Amino acid sequence: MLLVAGIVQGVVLGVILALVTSGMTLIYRVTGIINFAHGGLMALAMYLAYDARRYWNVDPLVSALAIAPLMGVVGWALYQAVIRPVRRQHHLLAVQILLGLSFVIEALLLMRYGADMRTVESVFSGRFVTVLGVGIELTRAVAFGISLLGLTVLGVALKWSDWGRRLRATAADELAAYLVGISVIRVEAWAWGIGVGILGLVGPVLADVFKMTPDMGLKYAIVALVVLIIGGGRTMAGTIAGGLLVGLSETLGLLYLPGSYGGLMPYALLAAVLVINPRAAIAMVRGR
Amino acid sequence: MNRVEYAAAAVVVVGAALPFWLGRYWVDVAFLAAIYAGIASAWNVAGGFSGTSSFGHGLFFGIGAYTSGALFYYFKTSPWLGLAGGAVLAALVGVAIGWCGVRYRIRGLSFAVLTLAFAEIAWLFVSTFDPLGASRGISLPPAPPGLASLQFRSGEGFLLVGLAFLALCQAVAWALHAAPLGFRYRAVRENETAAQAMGIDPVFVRLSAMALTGALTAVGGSIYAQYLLFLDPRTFFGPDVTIKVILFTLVGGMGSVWGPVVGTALLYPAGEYLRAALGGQVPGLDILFYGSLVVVCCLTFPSGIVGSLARLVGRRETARASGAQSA
Repeated sequence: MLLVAGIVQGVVLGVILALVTSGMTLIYRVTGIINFAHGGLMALAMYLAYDARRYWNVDPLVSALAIAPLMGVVGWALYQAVIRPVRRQHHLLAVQILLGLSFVIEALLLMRYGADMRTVESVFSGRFVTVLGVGIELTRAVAFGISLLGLTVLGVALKWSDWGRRLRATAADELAAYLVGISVIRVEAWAWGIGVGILGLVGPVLADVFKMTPDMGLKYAIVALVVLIIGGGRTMAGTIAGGLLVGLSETLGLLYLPGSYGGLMPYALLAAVLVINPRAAIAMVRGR
Repeated sequence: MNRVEYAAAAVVVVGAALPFWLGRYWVDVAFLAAIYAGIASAWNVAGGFSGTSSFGHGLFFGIGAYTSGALFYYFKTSPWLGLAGGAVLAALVGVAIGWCGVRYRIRGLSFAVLTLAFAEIAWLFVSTFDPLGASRGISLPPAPPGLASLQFRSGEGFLLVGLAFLALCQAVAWALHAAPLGFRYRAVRENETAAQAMGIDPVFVRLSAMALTGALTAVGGSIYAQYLLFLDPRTFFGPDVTIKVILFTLVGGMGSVWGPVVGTALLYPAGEYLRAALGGQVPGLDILFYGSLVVVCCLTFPSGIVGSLARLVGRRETARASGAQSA
């Protein structure tokens, strides 16, 4: 029974983490940059949902519909203003810029909202559903459903739309894509827009599932990075697998290991994956 | 060393002498700046010279602090022994991680992520491991002040030890930069295959860089633990130190001997000043300062302060030399 509970909770967490990471994977595959501001941008989206609730009393599940395109524009602007100028330079430079940006977001959130832990109530808050005899919070179940839907839509769009083909072509071979007439710059801007836009969708939905504090950004950036690497960093299917592995290992680890050693599991898994199959790990950043 | 680096060294020496006049608060700030600068320099030995970047220096910092701290707490061992033990242990761990990277061909950014993973594992492990105080931390007992216990009644004593640590790191970095080994480091950084073709062993370069950077960082951790008299997993194993140190190094100039120190000497006191002067009313201002400065610096002068200045001076000297030739 305990095992079933652990597996259900782990799968739910894993799929949510997979959607959070999918944006990072998209950006990494297309532009070769690891977005260390990923968690910070998610925190920003969550706090926007908090403001929407406080000032206009809009449910986070509704405000997500407005915050997602807004974050998409943020991602696009971020690419044009900050990432594009350094896209041909040392990969640590982009990493450092994004870390700096993550700090800027953290500081602004701290100034505006203070350091207290916050959540945003949605219409589903405080209720539970029973799946396979396991009770889970309804908000978490809804976040699971939305994540599943988001991953499906993203996967279908990448696989069958012209837009997705352009993205995949650029990810596979930037120069060849350029030679067949794809505007690589525009595709990269799209990847950033969609990758950050996903956070605008998932952030508000998670605003009652994860507690939000201004300094959560770095933590979730690292979690997403772990998922990305365990999943191989190449495909959306890999990212989902990575999310499930991280979610299950953490949940089951916390259930069966003494103390909070279970929290170690995702990182131990990461080290193991890097050692067993380094090709799954990121090689040197593409083309540099 | 070129002219810019001599100038940078002069600035640092003056900067180190300044707090003795400015009073108690700035002595503490300067001590911390010296520790950060030393670790930044240690990071630069691996990340800047040999291209073996690490995101996990918190691991070495923590090993140094916890080795000397725990030995001091449990057995009253002299912190000097603990400091040496911590340095050796951190060097071994550095070699082990470096060996993982060599054996499984993990390089560049993914190697940096591997070090991050090990640092996170160590952080979470220490946070739950009871003999090391778990997440409550360990309060170190005060000892009679003096050089033997590495504890001092005044901040000046700590500042001198911090500056000695910085001098040690700079001596290592400078010797390495000028020595044949340093040339091998740079060769591996620029092009590993070409370096190998010339008979340079990249395995030795990577492992020795990790050992050096680990040992120096651990020494900084031991000294900082004796200053703080409190071991806490987040302070020592958390990612904050690593991120700050990389930030200071990048702004100052990665790969140059004095870049990390100049970056720290400029940024750290400024951040502390912002926190002290305005932190009460506006929390997070120092974080905002660091964050926006690093973005601006990376976009405007990616080779850092020392790197950009060196290029500027170099260009002028080249222009003068060619002018003399044509005349």
